[in-house]
Amino acid sequence: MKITAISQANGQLKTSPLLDYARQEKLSDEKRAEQQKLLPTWVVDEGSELKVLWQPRKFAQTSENRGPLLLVEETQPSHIELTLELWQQVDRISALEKGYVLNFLKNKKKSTTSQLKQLASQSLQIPPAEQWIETYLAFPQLPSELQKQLQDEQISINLFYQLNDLPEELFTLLTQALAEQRLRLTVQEARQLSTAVRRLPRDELPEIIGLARSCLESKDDLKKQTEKLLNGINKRAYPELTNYRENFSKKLEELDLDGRINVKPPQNFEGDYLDFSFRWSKEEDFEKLLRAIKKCRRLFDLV
Amino acid sequence: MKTGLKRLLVEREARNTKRGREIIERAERLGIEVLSPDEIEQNSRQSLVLNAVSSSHVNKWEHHPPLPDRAENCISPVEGCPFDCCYCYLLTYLQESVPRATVNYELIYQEIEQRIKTGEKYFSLGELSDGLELEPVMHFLPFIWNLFQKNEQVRLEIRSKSINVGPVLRELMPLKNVTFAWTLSPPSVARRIELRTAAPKERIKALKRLAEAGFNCALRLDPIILQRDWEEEYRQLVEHIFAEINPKQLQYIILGCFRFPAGLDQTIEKRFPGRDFIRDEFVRGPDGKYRYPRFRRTAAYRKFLNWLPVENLRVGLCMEPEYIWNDLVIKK
Ligand code: SF4
Repeated sequence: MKITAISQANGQLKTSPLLDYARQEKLSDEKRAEQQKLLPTWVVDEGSELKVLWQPRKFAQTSENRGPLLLVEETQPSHIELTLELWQQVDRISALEKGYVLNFLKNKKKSTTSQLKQLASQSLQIPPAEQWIETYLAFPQLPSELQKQLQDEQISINLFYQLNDLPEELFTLLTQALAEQRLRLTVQEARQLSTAVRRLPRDELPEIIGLARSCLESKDDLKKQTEKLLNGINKRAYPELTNYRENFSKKLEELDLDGRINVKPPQNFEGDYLDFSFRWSKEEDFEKLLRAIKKCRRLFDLV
Repeated sequence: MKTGLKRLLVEREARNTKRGREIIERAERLGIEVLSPDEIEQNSRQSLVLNAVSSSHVNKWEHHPPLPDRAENCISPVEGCPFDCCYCYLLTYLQESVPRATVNYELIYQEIEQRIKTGEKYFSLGELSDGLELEPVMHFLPFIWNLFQKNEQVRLEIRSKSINVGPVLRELMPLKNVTFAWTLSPPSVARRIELRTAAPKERIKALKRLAEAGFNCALRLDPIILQRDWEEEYRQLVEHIFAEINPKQLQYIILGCFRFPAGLDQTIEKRFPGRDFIRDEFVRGPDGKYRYPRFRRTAAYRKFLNWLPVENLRVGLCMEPEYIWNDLVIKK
């Protein structure tokens, strides 16, 4: 067993049965309270010094409660798993911290993707899919404002899951704008954006970046700016669909329905129906409404 | 005869069966290295793990409305494919990339029999692997042949991109209700995207050999990939097909534009970087799959209907909603 507890109090290295400690699931309240005071810090022995790899969030707030340091001579994933198990008994590991752990394992320990996937799902509660792993791996490289928001759970991990699929240059541009609050994106908008970018040939990337830059530099409010960015990219990624939509709107306008009826084609024009919605309040309006509906017949040529 | 297989990795339980030993013998005759799974890292599609697993190998696949409702029972003695088509949905569907086969044919036989008893009519082979490529080693078809001979009301379609028709010609007799269907793409698509498969010309020759021996044959132009120059390439392909084959030798031809489930595009990008066929205008359909926009598909199908000798040939669409069939006025 290479996990060692170091008593911070006297600075001496002493081994302790941490395996039992880690695996002990049913702790008495008293014991739990006692352990909560001991907030272990994961450290790595780097020869002359013990380097703090990361520590529980609570630690910074309650440094007077500094408990044992955990020295992990991780040469095998099993030690890591054990440490993480212990860690989670003491404190929840934040998304950002998970990102640091995965980076450490990937870069310093040269763990393979399949080892990372296994560890991620078993010990870090991260779905074992490559895109999730990559999302977490990118956290430590995010601008510090976003890292802080992640640590404080003020921003959705899913947002980064969606954005992470973007080409690096675009990802950096957008995350920087998010950090500086020059851009606001919902998870759904981020998904739309990354899906649309995936549809575009790689050689169109410089133009997309140009488009994104000009949207971000515009004087519009954040909502309008996001709308512009999404519309611009969607138009490039879905030229035919945009065409159908524009054509449909044009035809609809030509019918001059007097705002009485709302007509919607099926999503992405995949279907042979139209959705109508209307409201009338006076009996005499009914005839007008019927006339308007009849006018809509021509729209069926478009689906 | 080649199978594209380099190694047969035989699990102990499979080695201890008569069928396992027969498969090993055939593999060795074909120059395939026979090892046990722990002797090698199992990371290649050109390996085949042989096991004696007795889990289900017949799965019912239903189509989501508004796709025409024809549930199909997929028979899969092998899960995983020695070929490596960049668009293959198995990339995300199967956990393992190494193909795995069972020696437990009896179980599959019983499963098919059971389903026939409950009124199932449509069966296919070649969904989770190529339907013919491994036949020189596996000899699976002779084992189930009499089931389809006895049950003429039941249809079986065997799908393939292989040229391994030798075992069929040697050991099987044509059945009215069994069809061999080859998937074809233009040569440039086959070269770049259908890795390790036989060249389209060779597939046509294989089809012709079976057709001339009296077997039912069909063609699937599926997936149709609408890349630059697609029109010229597919038109030439159709011309070549019908220069070689009389339309009467074909039971039907199926057309299907490329589509994919959510997430497959990202996997393809990672696994096959630079294959730009995945970067195109794909939109979500009512069944959740992504396809070229509707009017682009119908325009493409119309072209095919112009090129094909439709007066002598039944044409169908694969995985297309009813409104597309209606747009094209094709009867289901
Ligand atoms: S032949 Fe079929 S099953 Fe095999 S890789 Fe190609 S698409 Fe997939």
